[in-house]
Amino acid sequence: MSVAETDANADAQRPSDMPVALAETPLRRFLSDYFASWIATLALALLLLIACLALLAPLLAPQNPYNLAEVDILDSRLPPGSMGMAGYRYWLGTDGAGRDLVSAILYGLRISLMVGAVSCLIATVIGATVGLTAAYAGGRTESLLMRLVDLQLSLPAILIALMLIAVLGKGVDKVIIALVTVQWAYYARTVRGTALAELNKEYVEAARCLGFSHPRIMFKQILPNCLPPLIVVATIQAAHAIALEATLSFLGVGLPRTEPSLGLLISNGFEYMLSGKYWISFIPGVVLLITVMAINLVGDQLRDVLNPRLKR
Amino acid sequence: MTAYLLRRLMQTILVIVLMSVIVFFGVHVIGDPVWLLVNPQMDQRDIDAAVRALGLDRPIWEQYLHFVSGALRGDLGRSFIFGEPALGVILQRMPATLELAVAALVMAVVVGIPLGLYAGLKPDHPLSKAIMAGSIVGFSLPTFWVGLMLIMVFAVMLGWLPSTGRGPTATFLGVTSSMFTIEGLRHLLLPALNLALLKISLVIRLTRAGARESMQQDYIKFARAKGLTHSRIVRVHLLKNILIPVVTVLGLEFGNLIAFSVVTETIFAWPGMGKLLIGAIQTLDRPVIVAHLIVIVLLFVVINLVVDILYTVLDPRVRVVGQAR
Repeated sequence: MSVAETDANADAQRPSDMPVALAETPLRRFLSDYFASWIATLALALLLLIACLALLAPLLAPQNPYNLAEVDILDSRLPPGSMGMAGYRYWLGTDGAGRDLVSAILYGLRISLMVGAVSCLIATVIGATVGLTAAYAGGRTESLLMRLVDLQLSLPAILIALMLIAVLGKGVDKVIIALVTVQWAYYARTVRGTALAELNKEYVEAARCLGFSHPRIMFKQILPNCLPPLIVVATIQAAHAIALEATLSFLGVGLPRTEPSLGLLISNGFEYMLSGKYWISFIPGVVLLITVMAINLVGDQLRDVLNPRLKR
Repeated sequence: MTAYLLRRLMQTILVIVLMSVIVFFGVHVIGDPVWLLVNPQMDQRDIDAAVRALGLDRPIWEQYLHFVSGALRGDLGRSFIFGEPALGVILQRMPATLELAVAALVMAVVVGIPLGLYAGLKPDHPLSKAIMAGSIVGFSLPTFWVGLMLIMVFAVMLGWLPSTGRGPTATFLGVTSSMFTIEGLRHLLLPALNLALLKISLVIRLTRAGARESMQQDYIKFARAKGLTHSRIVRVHLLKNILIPVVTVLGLEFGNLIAFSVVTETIFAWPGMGKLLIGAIQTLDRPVIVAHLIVIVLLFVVINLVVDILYTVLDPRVRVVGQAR
């Protein structure tokens, strides 16, 4: 979701760069506010680059690291920059099974981002629906739903995730379920807070007078006005989801070996670290770090730009 | 206050019951632990005997009732792997985990408050900006990766500190801990730092925000007008007011530290509860998983309860609101 959105933003940015004074629209104001910070601009560019690398991994990677015919075990644990048996250079070295780390990281990035984005999307949908329903219905429904949210948020994410994994077992779908369960409450709380404020506005009253159905008022009238804080939360939570998935995979209770995310690559390299072969863990870790930090920086800037209290 | 306490207690009990149901049924519906435990060469009669011995042939609700009645007597079942009472196995490892969490908490306070105070008092100084940038990095760094890097730098490259395990323990004032031996401290330093890093960033941000806000307040202006020295204003007047939110948040974070020690313990082979849980998940040692989660949830809600009460005691303004509720 965030990928498509940032793509659209990058396209729409061009007109605002033109020297000609254009009529100020909310989008243009948003863009010029966003790009006022060079760190945030850099982070967004980096994020787009990472997303492209992940999407195009099969085209860009020198080898398919999970095709055994292309991997040579004799090349295992080579330091960065070594020449391999197949005649090309391993710029980032190879791991314990002789896979080229550049390729392994590109494929790993793909899985990490996919799991993060999918869980984030599902959590957004569930959380927004719950939050909207709570705000709109009020009364007992609201207090029940919000009690559930409080309960969820009072326990640490990793504990809930581990509990679920212990119950459900390993697998991509199980990890996504765990991540969604951990995250939906943040969205629910955010959307409810915003929706409560929106409910008192005239346009909602007008929609009611027009006899619109409840779902229509909730999703077509109120929800679009709750989007700014929702987007901010979604960005920050996407970073959390990616980090949490990596942590679970590192602990050996996340993704299975057949779906090697960045966390699993780092975990694979752990056993070689004590013998000084640092790159097998270190480099995937740096990639993970850059990804998470870029998302966090974009989220921080979005929060500042979209926060009505900080409007200039 | 009493009514508030009672209500909080009821909520706490409800949470624990709910968790025990979810965890127990979840763990028992999925996966059949018999096949992990019996020897594949055993014949059907031996397997049946093993199933009966473990109580796995009963209907699931009966197993749950048996579990609850046991739990109330402090018996959470026997570990399939260790053959010992699950609660005993966990309690044995609890001191190591608590030690790690306490050490991390102390580090967070000792490092975080001075840095946060500096960044709050001199917001434009380059060093303050560096501190804040550092805290952003601290938030973004995945705990497990930092652990690996600490091992790489301090244990492998520099060889200063040991990378795995817990050092020898000594008993001081009735507390047995590895904090009281030099070798124990050497073992403790890296894992505690790893666990503390996120909390240090948190404390820096909280302290800085508190300092910046409080410096604008009238009581600070008044203290200045009285002619007090800057250091006295900071130490006595400012710090006391900043400490309330920091103490509260840190109290709540203590439970988080215990939960997150799972990661640190796995990396540093620290013989605590977290490492036990990961092992139990991988071997499907159901009694240990269930008992561990119950113990953690118990620990967690008790911490939340205590912090809530402490908060109302510490800050008179909250007490009024607490009574009104």
